[in-house]
Amino acid sequence: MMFQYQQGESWFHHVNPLPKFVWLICISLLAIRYEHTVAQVFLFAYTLLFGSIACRASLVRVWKMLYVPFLFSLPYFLLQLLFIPGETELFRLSGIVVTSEAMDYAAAITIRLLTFILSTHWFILTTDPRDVVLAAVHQLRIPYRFAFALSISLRFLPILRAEAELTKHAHRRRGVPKGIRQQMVWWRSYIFSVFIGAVRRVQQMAEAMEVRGFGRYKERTYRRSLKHTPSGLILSLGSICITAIVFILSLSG
Amino acid sequence: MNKKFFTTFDIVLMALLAVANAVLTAYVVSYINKALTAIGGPIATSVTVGIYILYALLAMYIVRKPGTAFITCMLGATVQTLFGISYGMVSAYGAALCYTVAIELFFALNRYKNWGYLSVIFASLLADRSFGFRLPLICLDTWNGGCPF
Repeated sequence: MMFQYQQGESWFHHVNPLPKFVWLICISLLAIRYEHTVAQVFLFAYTLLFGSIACRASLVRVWKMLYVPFLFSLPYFLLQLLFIPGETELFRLSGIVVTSEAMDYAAAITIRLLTFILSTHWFILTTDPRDVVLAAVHQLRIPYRFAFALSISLRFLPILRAEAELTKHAHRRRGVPKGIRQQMVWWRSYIFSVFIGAVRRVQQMAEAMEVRGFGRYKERTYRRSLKHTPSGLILSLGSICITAIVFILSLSG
Repeated sequence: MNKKFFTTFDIVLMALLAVANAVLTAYVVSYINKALTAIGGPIATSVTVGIYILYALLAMYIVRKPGTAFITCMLGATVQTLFGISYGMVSAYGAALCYTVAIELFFALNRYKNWGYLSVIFASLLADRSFGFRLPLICLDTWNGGCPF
């Protein structure tokens, strides 16, 4: 997984997943709404500041986390800069005209990408996936069989990774393909094997769960339960209010 | 086969497809997609849209029960969000809902009975062209006051 939950004692760690989800939706809505650099820089700065205060994350940590997405976003920024049409010429780079409209849009879209990744990171870093399942069952009232599907999804990843690695080694022992055509055949066979292995694993897992009585009763008991906290209420209401105000202001002006 | 309710196997299978899709889209396709958007706009981007709807359609084809696409897409969007998709949470859920509407509507009209090659192709075309691609763009264009997305 790109990011993983880490135990901690920050304020955001103690907030329930549901208010965090609301906060994330608000950030996403605001980020999608604006396509200007100034607004995106402001939103990115807010997300950064929020993370460093509420999640107690250092700038070094933020850089380590954003390093790879930043490398991905650089060519993306350049492509946008070169291909987006505009009227106001900013400068010429060996015959290619760079316009201020393209610069504004490219910077905004690139910063937006980083804001999305950063805000999601704060959520993942401070939220135990088991709490997401509990919130889905207790607060969203989703039937536990479906809420557990989410938990299963998250558990599947290391299993899939191990299975894929094993299959890759098994295929390699039969010979490494040479040439693009053979490589493509190899990859097709490899992906198919991983998929078949995974479906077989689904059958085993489903049987194991049913043997343990999963889904036998309509309700089930939990060792832990999530409760609404004042901090969570403040976070969700505050996020909704700020987003609504920004939207009303932007629509009226 | 229990035609009405989801068995544990169905649920685990949907979870598997959701996680496979999330890995593929969050780590690989979304970056390729963004690069293609920059180079060729929506037409170039549409080359990869099929990958985004593949898991829901596959789940629907295997499980063959009403609501399969909805549950798989919602699971997929949630896992994508937890993996950190570069399009953001709202886009992930919005797109998932659009694919769901198209796929569920198509198979509901078929009364969940026709599972031939052609019907799956039509369902994917509907999800891809009409909803998965155009509807979110139209919504965003309207929302942004007519600006191109």
